[in-house]
Amino acid sequence: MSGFGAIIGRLSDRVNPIVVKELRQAVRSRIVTGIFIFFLVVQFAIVALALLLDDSAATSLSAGRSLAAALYSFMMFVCIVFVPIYSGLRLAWERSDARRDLMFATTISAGAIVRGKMLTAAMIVALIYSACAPFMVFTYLLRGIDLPTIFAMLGLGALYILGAVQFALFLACIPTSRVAKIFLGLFGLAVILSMVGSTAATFGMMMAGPSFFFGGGGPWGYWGAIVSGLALSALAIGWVHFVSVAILKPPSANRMLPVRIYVTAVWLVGGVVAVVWSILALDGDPIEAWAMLSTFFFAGALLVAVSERETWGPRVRRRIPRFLPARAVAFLFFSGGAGGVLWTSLILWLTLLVVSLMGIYHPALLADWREGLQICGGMALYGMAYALTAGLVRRLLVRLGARFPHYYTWVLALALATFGSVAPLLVFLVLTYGSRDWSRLMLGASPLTYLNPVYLNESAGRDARLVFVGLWAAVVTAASTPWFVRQVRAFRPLRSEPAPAPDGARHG
Amino acid sequence: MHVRVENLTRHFGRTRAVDGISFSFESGHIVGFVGPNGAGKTTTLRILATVDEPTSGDAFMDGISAVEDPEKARHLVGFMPDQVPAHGDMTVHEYLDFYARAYGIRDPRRTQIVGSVEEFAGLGQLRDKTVVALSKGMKQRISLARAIVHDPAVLLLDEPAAGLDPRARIELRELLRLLADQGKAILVSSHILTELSEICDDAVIIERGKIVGAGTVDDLLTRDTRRRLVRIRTLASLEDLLKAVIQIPGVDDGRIDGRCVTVTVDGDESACRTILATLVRQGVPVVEFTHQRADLEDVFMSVTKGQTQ
Repeated sequence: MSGFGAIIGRLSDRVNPIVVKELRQAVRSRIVTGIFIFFLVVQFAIVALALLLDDSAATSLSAGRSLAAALYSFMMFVCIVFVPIYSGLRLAWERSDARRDLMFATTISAGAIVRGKMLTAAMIVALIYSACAPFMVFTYLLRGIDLPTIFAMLGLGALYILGAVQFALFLACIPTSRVAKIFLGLFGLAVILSMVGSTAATFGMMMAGPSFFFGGGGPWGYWGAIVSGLALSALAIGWVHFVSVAILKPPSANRMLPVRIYVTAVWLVGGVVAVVWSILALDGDPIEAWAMLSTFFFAGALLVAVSERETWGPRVRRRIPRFLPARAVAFLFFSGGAGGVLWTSLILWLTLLVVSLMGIYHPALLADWREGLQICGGMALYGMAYALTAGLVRRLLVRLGARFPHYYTWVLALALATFGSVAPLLVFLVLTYGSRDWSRLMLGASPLTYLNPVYLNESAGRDARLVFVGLWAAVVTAASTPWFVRQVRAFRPLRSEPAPAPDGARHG
Repeated sequence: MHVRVENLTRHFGRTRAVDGISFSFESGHIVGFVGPNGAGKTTTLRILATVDEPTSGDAFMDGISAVEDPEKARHLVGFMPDQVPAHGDMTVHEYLDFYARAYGIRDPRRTQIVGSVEEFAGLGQLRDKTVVALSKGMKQRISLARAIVHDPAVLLLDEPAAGLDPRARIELRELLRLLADQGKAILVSSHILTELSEICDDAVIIERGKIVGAGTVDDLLTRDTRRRLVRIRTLASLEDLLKAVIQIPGVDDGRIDGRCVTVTVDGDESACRTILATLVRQGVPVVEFTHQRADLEDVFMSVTKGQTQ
């Protein structure tokens, strides 16, 4: 083999096998070729029509902007709708129980599969972008738009598309029945179509220029908002990526470890950035935004954590550290129900602690931090109360003989939350049918709404609500203590055991 | 390589597709996995191949668990499912090259391996054809080539001969024997029992998710079965012999078969002895009394009840 051939061979070895396979299939795919040709024809038609029908194209100061808007909208529609659906459907088909693709029985890792699918989607997007590039650059010649804006639009658009692709892949990874997959697909389609709308809105904001952001905060506010949007989108894509990989891994694997490390790192870095930003800019918005996002995210994460495994197989136990402090940290980060609930609760209370300290040491930054703290604290308590109650109910049902796998606990928690939020009000509505003053009791102060976390927004009766949910969370935590203790005791490294000797009998 | 299946169970809702089965086999052996449709053969093979997960139980390849360490087990297992390859839009070479890459085989070894596997499976002439354009037999060969591309120690073949013409079956049989001689442990499920009895060293018979018979093929064929064929020749009239023998308790059925009478005996070897003694006592001039050796099909019919779930 020649030197050049050897280099090519070595480079080829570095390429993700999924990318090689998917691209080979994509170039042979009539759908991909058809969409690509259709895309080129429509782009050409848009430009031609804009130039032929608009007499003022040569003199108008916004002709380039309008044409860019039209081209961009069409390109984004094609990319956001076609690429994620193509990628998601392929993976869902390969993952179907009846015809699970044999690549899942090779030694290729779950991470490489998801990365390969993402990279392939990115390459198809790059192909479509490259076809669009001459048309987009042409809009610059028509005036009304500058090159940095064009590139920023394309960059943000690419992130939206990759976000949609990652979301579609995430849905495709979920192991469920064919009927449920159809519903998931419809849900995914709705989300992807809504992303088309939000892309158009982003485009509109960018076209409006710096004045749109922060009440005309100047170029810093304009580009700061764009960079923040990019960073948040990238972090969200990263999170969905890690979750997708975790789903693809075998159940025996330590699925949650990478997810928890990633989320903890993002939470930590986000917190530091928010605190520094707030102090330097003398503005409490960043820290409030971080606290709110963290609280809502981790309150939801509690429902997932409580649904995790309650015992560990040899594969995970082999990796449990023998050193006690390291084992304590591992308990929080390894897959496991009790560890997950502890990890999530710890981050929730640390978030609230940071906001409290900021409120105490920088009161000028967080004028209404006490109210924000109450809402965040309330959300954390509701999350804990519903998650742990669901866990208790599930264990009770199992003890009564019901078959209720731990991984469905989140469904029970959601059912309880829905029931707790709606049922008391419905009962009251039925009891007071015809009465005029029932609506007053719908207000936050009514004890009937104590099970409904949405009413945390109401300032009336918030203290009583917090006391109620705090007591509820304390009771279910106390009742769940044996569950926690059991798992803490079981979380021990595997003793080295001799390999089992082959049995003498050939069969039986 | 020692493959051990331990209390393997797989439920689909209320259906127990596999119900606590245990068996084991070794390198260099071809084990037939026999059972009616819906017996749980494919489910078992899919679990061993780590494509599916058991409800309980486990399977070990030299102590490596298919449930706990599926990634390690995948290095050791090659699986040929009963379905034809899924990626019809790839060429044969691209298909095999992808799986070689997926097993982490790097160039230039990969090029060599894919080339030799193509030659071994008789696909050399077809390497640039798309998979979808090939016949069922050729697709079966691609499937087998894919299963051995990473040189696994264990081969799991699900109905590999289904849909093949007689020549392709013979060639497949030769390929399997060659692979077993190379030291691979091979578990092969098939409905074509005559085929299996010719190539298998051992057999496991499964019905409704449970093992109903297992052992070496020789053991199974000589083991007491409920029904056996006996060939009797006499100097007297064949019609008289048939009338006499059919009345003896334990004889189910009989027919004149050329120059002798063939009867089906419901019982073991002592039942055959009783029949012979009765005939001699009745003065029938018996000159030949041969117990016809059962084949795997007889054994299968004897131990299964034809029930599906």
